[in-house]
Amino acid sequence: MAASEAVTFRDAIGNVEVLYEIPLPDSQPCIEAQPLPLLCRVNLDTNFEDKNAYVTGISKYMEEATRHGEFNEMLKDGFQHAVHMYTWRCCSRAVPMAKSNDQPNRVEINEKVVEVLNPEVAKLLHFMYFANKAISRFCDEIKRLCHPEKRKDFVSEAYLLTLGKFINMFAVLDELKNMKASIKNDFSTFRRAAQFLQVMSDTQTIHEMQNLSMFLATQNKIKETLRAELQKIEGYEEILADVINICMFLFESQMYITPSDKHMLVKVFGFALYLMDGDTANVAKLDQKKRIHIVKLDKIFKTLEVVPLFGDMQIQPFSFVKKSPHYEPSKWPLSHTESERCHVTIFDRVRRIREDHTDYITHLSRIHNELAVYEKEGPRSDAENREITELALRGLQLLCSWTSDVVETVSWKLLHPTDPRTNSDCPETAEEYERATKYNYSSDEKSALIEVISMIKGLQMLLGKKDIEFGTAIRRHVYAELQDFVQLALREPLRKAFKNKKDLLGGIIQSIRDTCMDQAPGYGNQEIHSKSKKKDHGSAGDVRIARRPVAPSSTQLYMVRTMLESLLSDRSGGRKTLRKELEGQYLVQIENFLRMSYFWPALLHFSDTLAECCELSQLWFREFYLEMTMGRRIQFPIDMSLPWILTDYILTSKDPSLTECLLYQLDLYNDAGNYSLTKFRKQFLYDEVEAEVNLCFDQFVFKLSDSVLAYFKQLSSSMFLDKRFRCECSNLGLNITTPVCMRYKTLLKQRHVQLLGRSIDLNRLVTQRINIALLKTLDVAISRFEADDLTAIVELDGLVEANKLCHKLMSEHLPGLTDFKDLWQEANHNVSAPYGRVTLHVFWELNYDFLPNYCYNASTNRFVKYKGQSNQVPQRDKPPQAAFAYFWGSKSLNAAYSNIYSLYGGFVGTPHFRCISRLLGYQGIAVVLEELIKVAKTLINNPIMNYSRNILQLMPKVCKLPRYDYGSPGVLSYYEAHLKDVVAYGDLRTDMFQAFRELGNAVLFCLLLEQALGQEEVTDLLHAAPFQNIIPRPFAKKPEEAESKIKRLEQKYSRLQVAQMIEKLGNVKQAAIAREGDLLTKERLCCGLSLFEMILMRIREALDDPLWTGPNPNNGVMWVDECVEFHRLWSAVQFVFCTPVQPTHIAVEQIYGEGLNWAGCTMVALLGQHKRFEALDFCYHIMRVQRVDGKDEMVHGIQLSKMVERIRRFQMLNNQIFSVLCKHLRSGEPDGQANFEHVRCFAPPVHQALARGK
Amino acid sequence: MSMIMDTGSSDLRSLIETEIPEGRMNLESSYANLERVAAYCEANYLQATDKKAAFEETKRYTVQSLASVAYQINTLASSLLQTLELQTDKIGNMESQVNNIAQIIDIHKEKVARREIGVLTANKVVQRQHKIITPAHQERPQRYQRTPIDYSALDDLGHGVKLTSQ
Amino acid sequence: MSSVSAAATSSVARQLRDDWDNREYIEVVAENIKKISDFLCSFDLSCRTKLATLNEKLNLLERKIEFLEARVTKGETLN
Repeated sequence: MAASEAVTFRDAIGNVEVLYEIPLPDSQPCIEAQPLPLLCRVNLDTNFEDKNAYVTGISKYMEEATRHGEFNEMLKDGFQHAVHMYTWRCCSRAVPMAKSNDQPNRVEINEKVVEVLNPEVAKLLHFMYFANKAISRFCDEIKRLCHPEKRKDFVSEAYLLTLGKFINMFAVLDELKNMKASIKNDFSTFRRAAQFLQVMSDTQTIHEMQNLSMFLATQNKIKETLRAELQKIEGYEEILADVINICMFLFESQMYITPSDKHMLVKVFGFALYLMDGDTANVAKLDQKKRIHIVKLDKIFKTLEVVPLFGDMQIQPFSFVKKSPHYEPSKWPLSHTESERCHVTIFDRVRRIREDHTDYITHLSRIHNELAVYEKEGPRSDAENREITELALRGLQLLCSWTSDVVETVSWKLLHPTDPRTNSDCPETAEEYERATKYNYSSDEKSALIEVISMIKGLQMLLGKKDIEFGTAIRRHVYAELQDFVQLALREPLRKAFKNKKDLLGGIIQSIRDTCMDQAPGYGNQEIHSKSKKKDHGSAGDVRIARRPVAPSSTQLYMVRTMLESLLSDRSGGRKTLRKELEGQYLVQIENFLRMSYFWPALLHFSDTLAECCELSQLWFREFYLEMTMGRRIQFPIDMSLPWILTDYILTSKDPSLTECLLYQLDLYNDAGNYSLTKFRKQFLYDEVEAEVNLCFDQFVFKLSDSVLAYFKQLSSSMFLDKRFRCECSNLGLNITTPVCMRYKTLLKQRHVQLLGRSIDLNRLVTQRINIALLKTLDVAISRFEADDLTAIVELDGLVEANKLCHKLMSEHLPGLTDFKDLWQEANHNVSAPYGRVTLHVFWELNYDFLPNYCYNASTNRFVKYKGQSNQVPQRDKPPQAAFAYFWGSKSLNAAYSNIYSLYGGFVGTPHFRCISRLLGYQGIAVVLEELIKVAKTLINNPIMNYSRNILQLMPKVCKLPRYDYGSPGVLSYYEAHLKDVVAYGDLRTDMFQAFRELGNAVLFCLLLEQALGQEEVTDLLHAAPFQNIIPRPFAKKPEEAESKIKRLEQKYSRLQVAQMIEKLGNVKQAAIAREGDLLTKERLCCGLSLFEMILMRIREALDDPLWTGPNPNNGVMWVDECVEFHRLWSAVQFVFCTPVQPTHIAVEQIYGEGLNWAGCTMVALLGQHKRFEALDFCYHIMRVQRVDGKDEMVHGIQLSKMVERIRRFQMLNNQIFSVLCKHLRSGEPDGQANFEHVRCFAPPVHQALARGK
Repeated sequence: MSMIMDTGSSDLRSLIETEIPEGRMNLESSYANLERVAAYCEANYLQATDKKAAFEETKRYTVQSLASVAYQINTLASSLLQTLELQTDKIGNMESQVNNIAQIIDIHKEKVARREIGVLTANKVVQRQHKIITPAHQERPQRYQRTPIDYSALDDLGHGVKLTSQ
Repeated sequence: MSSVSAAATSSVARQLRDDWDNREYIEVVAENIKKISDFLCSFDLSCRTKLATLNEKLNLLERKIEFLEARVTKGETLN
């Protein structure tokens, strides 16, 4: 090794401290069990290997320590055998049996069987030898202790407890052997195969096989042999009584630290009582001799009826007592009858647990703050260390009680599976294990279990994080207590012992002090022995023993405690006990010390004990139930596995208080996986856990993302829902879901969840799924619009807004979500294609439903469908099927919104146009208008032109305006006569009007769309104004005051100016982008451009056919009476639809709406014949004449006054239309005649005289 | 704000190419060494005659290895953190560039859309009627003074006869 | 108690004290090793968070660029 410079110890510690200066921010809230990427456990327990070093201890107890160590080893082997048997899976079922003797390959099969089963049978053999060796070893030990001379001596508590553990081991091994039928089957298959192959020739192996089969075959073999052996020992029941009493004492004073210890104690009672109850000595007699207390035992059996034996195998300790020969039910009133319900009602217990949990947490956090705030290192006062140690112990005891509550509830449930009678929703066909887990828990029990498990793991995490500080504090505390006790408390008794020549007592106390006294270098030991009478100078008494953060070694502690116990033990067995030799107050001191130090071994291995106290891994294992299915099940489906049942309950019950307990339930898999690898050491078990986790995890993330989506959708929809609507509904008694806050915040912050050694970024997984889901919601919204008519666009717009809000809410928690704009474009197939699905469908609807079927009504400014007429409804694709979450979030919200949006169903009005303009955007509107112009052009050139040509032929060549003298009826009849052919023209009322209506609707659509677009743009401009330095002019009396006010305002809002800010702060590119953006925001369409005008111009281009204008007027100025121009035709058409119709028929405007008039007036205006039309129109003339002469007659069946009334209304309508059109036409075209009054100058007529005079 | 790479501590490339692999290599080598040292100490203690000296030597080794491991972990950890830092800055930078590009594309698309709809629009001639505002300076109203009517003022209007001008 | 046994006990006591010192030494070293392992754990967790956010940003960028490419290249009047 390189001779590096002497690195002092201080430097090393310094280096480690420096490590902690590196900032390690981790913003993830910890709602999972303690994440341990690297597990580092320090275990200095020597299991008595170092006993020879402590020569000063009393040799007798040293020797007991050796045996104690040996027994611990045997207990470990016992556990391995138990594991081996518990995890045994029957292989013989899988082995192909040699059906008949002469089957050719049966030799091969058998060889294979032998080869496969050989190692397993070897283990069984080893187990048999172990069992026998353990029994004999145990009986020798009991025999040694029952030796009359030994009776007088003292047996330490720890040793009795170890004997108890041994008894428990026997019980466990025996029950496992009874339970596992597959072991016997496999062994018999092996033996048959082996005998067939005569491979075991020598007698010895045959004999062995014989023993083994006998050993495996007989039930309760171990128990019986043990009982037989014990009954040979005279007085064995005394020792067992001692074991029972010490266990009872420990149980009653809750001097156990882990749930398995607690359950072990109760199992020891049962089995020991069974062993004791033989013919030589029986329980009743011992009870009379007050050696054991049946009443107390009875009460204990009642409080803890079912305890886990091993894994998912349960046992009722009292069943042992029931099986004992001299069992009298009368002696056991309480536990004789088995109670209906589990002794732990978890649901009530959870309230108490919650209180304890909160108290403990507050205390722990105070300590934590003190530790963090005050000096990191440096010795703490004894009081602080004591408080921390007590806190740690209290924590362990709390955890132990909670865990035992959970484990006992589960074990009771496993032993009492439900049945269809008690639990209604348990089907007849439910399997055994299903009835034990899936249907065996009410929802209250499940939520209580979930909560307790979360509290256990949460507290374990908090304590686990503190184990370094706690470790040091505990060690300091133990050292201080030990040294104070040994060096100070024992000084007086030792002195007195020497003074009164009690050398035995003195010897023990001296050896205690020698074993573990840690003298500070200067402190001598001699003055004890000095015979000096003088009272020892006070100062030595209170000398402060130096404090060191080091604990006694396990053996040292054991020796001290055992020797102290020997002082206290009053079992004299005749001789004067040492107890009387000590004065009372020293006794009390020793007793307190013993009681306090009982938990020290557990506390000194704090992290291991903590793990044992929170041992919930057995909740997953189900070998016992698998065995019972006799091969029908290789492994149970996930919905029968308890961890998944709990996790699934949280996900489905959607109980907000449980959301944050989700990861704790998944952590049960971690425990199971860890246990099967470290303790069971079985790969196949781990693989099964892993397989189940794979399945469960997919479902977990799937259901989680689903509920996250549903929650946020409901939230956004409820925020979006009109408040008055909601309260109206509640008045009517139907309430609409308002989502309860589901607290997904912390869950979605999880970036590294530890699951079976893998680290999972939950946020990323949920983000991926939510991205897909959002895309789907938008897609569903669009396809629903595609399956509906144009009126559904308002709901689509609402859905888009709601989804945008939902996206905003979610992206707070899921920053990985793609921008809403991109999602929308993708759903709208508008990414590479210029026009989205919405645009295409809007146009499709326009073409096939809106133009032909809708009638416009100016007063309501709406298009309505005329019900009666069988307009061909275009066939549309099927509406999309999806869960409520993909629409408005929940059933009631869906119903509410469909009601709201059904109001927009019947008509197409301003709200629809606003939505169209918002959803289509400039590009969409441009393409729709372009298409509409084409439609208009085709309408004009084809249907309208043909019909016009026919009608022009039908019209009279000349149609004057009859003079007033004829009277209005006369005028009417004149027109009636002239236009007879036109009126009779069949197609006029049907196809021609339809063509005109379509043209009118198209023009109207463009007009209204532009208005809506204008409004949208104005709102945008106003929204952008404050950020573009456009400030409304403040009111000011004097103009110059206004100037200063504006200056101040501009100065005040200068920071809001986006473009300037970016100019100042951003880089060049960003500044350029900002400028462009600013420009684009300012320059909107409505600020200076008009769409409608250009559309009129484009339609006018289509009206270039001479048909419309006719040849040049003969008189060089204009046609007057000749029906050549279009406006004449339109007057005729107007005359047709002005004639009032019989009540039974349907009026024209009801069928075609005002689109008809709009079409006609547009063409007239575009052809510039508007003035002539106004002047020469037939109906106007009738009306003018009738208004003057006021006649009202029936002319050819037409009621004149009714007709005039209709004419008046249509005239008003035409005027409106013309005013709109002229406003648009006049403002635009510079060269059109409509622009300014195109005045043709005619020379004034010259007077003849003048003309001749020239 | 142009991102200047803080060349004070080594830049990203050198971090990734040299410092981190080096740190890792140190740790791996110390891992191997420590194993050998542990084995050596164990053997040494077993067969050493002077247990005390062997134990002291083991102690020295422990201290030294603890210090070295702590130090190596420290360096590797800080260089890793620094790499992450620089990486995040780099990506932040890239992100802003992409955002710029996205905005440029959006602007371009908007322009295309406006050009398309522009084709369909005509200039709206909006007559700018000025709002009626009080004239800056009020001219004083003139006093009324009477003038007699001249009846023959309009004789030359309304007819084609050329009068010889009086 | 004879003096020789006193000497014996004192040598045993000294051994005992050494034992205490050694154990203290061992425990301090063990504690420091545990501190290093704790540091590594929190280092690991904090790096994972950082990596996760980095990864998320990268994914976002990738998707954004892909999206922009789609918008710009195919079938679009680029005039």
